[in-house]
Amino acid sequence: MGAYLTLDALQQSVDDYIDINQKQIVGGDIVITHNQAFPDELMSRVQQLDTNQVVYDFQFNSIAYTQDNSLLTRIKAVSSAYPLYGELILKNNGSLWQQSSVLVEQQVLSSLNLTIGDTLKIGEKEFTIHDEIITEPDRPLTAFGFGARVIMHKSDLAATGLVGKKSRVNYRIEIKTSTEEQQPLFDELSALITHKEIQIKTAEQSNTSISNLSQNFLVFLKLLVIAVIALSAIGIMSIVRAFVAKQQNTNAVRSALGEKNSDIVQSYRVLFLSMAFISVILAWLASLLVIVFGKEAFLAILPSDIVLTIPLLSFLKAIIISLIMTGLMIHITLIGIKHIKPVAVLHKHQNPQSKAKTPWIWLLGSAIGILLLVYSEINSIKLSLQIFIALLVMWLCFALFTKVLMWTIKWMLDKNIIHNWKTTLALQNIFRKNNQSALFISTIAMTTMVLGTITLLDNSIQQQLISTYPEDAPNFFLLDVQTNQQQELDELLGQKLTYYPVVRARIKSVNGIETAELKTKLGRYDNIERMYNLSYANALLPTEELDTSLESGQLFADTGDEVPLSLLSSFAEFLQVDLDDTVTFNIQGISIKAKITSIRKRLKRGPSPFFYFIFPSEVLAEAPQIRFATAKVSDSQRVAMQTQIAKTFPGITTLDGGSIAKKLKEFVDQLKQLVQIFTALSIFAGLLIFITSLISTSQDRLRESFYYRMMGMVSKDLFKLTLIEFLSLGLFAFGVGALVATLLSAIISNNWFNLDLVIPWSVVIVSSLIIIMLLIVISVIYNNHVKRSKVIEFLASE
Amino acid sequence: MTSLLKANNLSKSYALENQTINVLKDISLSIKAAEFVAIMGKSGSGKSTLISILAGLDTTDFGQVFLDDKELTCLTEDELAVIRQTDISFVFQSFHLIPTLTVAENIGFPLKLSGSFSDEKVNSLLQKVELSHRKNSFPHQLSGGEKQRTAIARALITQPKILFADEPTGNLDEKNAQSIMQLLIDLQQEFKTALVVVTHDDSIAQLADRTIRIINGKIA
Ligand SMILES: Nc1ncnc2c1ncn2[C@@H]1O[C@H](COP(=O)(O)OP(=O)(O)O)[C@@H](O)[C@H]1O
Ligand SMILES: [Mg+2]
Repeated sequence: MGAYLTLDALQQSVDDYIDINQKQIVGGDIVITHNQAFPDELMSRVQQLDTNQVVYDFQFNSIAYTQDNSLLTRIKAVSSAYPLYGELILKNNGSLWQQSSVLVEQQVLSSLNLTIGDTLKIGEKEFTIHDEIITEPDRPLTAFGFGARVIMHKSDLAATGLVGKKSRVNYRIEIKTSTEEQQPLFDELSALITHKEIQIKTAEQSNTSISNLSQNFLVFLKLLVIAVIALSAIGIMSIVRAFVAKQQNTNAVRSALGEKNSDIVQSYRVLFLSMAFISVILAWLASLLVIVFGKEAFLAILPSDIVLTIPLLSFLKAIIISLIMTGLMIHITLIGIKHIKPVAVLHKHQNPQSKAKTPWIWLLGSAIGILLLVYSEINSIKLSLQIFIALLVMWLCFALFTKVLMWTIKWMLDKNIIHNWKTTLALQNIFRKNNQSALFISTIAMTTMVLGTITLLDNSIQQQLISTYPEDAPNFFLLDVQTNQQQELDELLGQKLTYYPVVRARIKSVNGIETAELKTKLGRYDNIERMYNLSYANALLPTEELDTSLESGQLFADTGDEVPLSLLSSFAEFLQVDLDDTVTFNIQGISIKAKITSIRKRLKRGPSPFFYFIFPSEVLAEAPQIRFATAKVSDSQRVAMQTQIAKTFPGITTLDGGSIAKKLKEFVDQLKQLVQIFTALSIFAGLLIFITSLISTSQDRLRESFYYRMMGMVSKDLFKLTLIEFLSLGLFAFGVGALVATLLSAIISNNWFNLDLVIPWSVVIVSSLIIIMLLIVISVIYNNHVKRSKVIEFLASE
Repeated sequence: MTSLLKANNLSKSYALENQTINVLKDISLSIKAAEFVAIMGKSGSGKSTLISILAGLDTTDFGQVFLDDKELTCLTEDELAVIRQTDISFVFQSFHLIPTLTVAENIGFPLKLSGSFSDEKVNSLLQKVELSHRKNSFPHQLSGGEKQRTAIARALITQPKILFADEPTGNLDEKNAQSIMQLLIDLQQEFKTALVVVTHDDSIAQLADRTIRIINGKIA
């Protein structure tokens, strides 16, 4: 509950933050974005506005360098009215920010060994560092940035000589208006925009989630926690059951003395509900501690200037959820009591089987409760229903699997396939009345599955994206190399770089269907309307292989009127096309219709470059193009080379593959840490269930153990028996859970992440060993308990 | 005839919060092989405690119990368990059958423990207690009388030297009680087993070779 409360508080805080800072995050009341310079008509209209009400904001990546150091930065060139909303918080915040000086993020200072007042070069211009940026109003999260932030005056931009050469500049205009003027101005500007690439939005229309990733991540964590809550619900059920079982005699006496069963149930209800209430208070304290002392852990996904509190609403929500949940669980469990006849309990010749029917209505109620909880988190009926149905199907699978397993055992027992009588007896005990083996197996399996899926996914992502930076892969990437710079660049770096020609183009249509129409039909793998990089070559890259082709072994085939095209398999899947289908491109105004003559596959994922579209050389050789280059440079040389290149060719952006991978890993590690915390929580819930379900069945188990002792079973045999029973129960459950986890994560990682599943055998082995150890420890404890208790005292008390 | 079971100066007390209850006070007795002894006394007089100690299921504070010159009171739990496999059996008022096992399996269970299982032995006992037709039933499907007959068969299948029965008919109606007692006595004579029965029923006591009366923890 504490975890849920914490996350809910975080989310509430984030929501509040967004509400308050809506305009600040967006930057203005009206925002226009484009990836090229804005057309003249629009510019002239905007220029008529009050300059204090308009911010021009250009962003692009470039290398900042000093005499012997360099760093990839994300430049933001703004006009003087910046920021329209909110405040740019600087470290010293003193004197006026002058021309020819820049504001930089702390990372720039530390990486380049600079302090405020020093100079650095960007492109062809030298800048003085005016101050250090603490927070930017329109960039609440810094963890997701690609390149360290440098803010310069827009008027300095021309002197850097970078814009124009750059192919990747984001142009942005932010406008501040009064509420009345907003709509007319918006309409007027919209009318001026003919190019469909230009986006115009009001602050209200803009996507203000501080970042999709952090929002999704919070929801993901909460779903995880809901899973934990659902598990604990089952845990509570077993606890209540165990508790009631222990008190059966007392209850029977109370009932025999004339107390009404409903009064007994009432007394339990009060007891458990007060316990639940106390737990929520404790949870509140715990989450307060987390929020005060653990804020660091969430830094990756939260704005640094956010104020974290536990809103009253979250607290009430937590109380209501836990009370309802406990109430339901108690009700379901206690329904049995109402039907217990005291005679049946007090006279042991009848096993006190509650005759109550399964409380379907109440189970349905809890199911709906969980559904509502999921819905309240993700706010999409369809998605929550999907999740819910998926859960239901999974549960049914488990139940079915468990049943089949039990039938198999029963069948083996009936057919006398097992000859060792102790094993037979242990297996028979699994069918003991009241011990809910099926429930036990299902819940343990579910827990294993949740944990297993997380571990497996985590492992696959880790293995394939982050840890394994292949030895022979290039680790140095150069963007925006001009064709005529190639030779000089080779000389500078003292090695022959690998160059890839890049022609920028858009997709016009696929098999004659316009992209605008296609957009609604295709998946979310990519955005078909974006700018794509085409390349040309006459042979396969060494990192790729042919999947299928019209002419065997050839990238291209003779296609008559159309141009041959080789497509990457993952993109072919996204476009839902195959050989012989056509794709029409708009290459800087010229339309080219291409026919797919081959489909390529990448041998493995990794940092090596790849292109979705490859044409024969003669088709694109004359088109306006730039080069993308890769090299392998030793760790010690990379920074020096980056600096060299930045000095000589300011227009070229270099990406240091090694350090990017490292940064990415740090970021993923932070997220992983959070997931692990919550995973640990669910492990805890799983253990709780494991132990309570053993306890709740221990009355029957104990009784039989004492019978065995009474008839002369020695403790060694009793231990064997217990161990076989616990081990088979636990390992069945674990096995089923692990199996489903593997399936599930294989599906998820293939479909969502496009990764192959890597089974972490070490984790599987270690966790099975842990489970086995745990079962052995429980068996030992149990056995010692039986050994130390006096048989007669137990039998006499019966 | 020499004695099969001998108890010397048994004492047992329970310490409650602020008082000590002396349940058994210096009890000595002996039981011969194949003898039928009834133990009578008021409720709470210490009968159950006494036979539990005699059977090695409970410990004494003071005194010894010997079975065939073997001192039970100084054996470990496991050593006592092994003796229960072959020499000592117990029948309780509330049956204590294993609910997951059928009648036949319940009866055969002690044989499995001692590693001397055979279907013939089980079937012959099933016949003797007239339960052949219920051999595949589970305990919860049986009447009280049938349950107790199963328990008796289970207790006697190892042909123990001595069988203890603590109010074996306490949960049964009169008619069933009589037939159960008759069965116990018949089998006891057939197997030459010593039988110690705790009972409130004078008519049962009259069938016994000897009756021991316990009053306030002492033999009267
Ligand atoms: N475990 C125990 N703790 C405390 N007192 C006990 C315990 N077992 C038995 N007694 C007491 O010992 C006395 C004799 O009990 P018991 O041997 O069961 O009597 P009986 O079988 O003759 O009715 C009773 O007063 C009972 O309360
Ligand atoms: Mg008694």
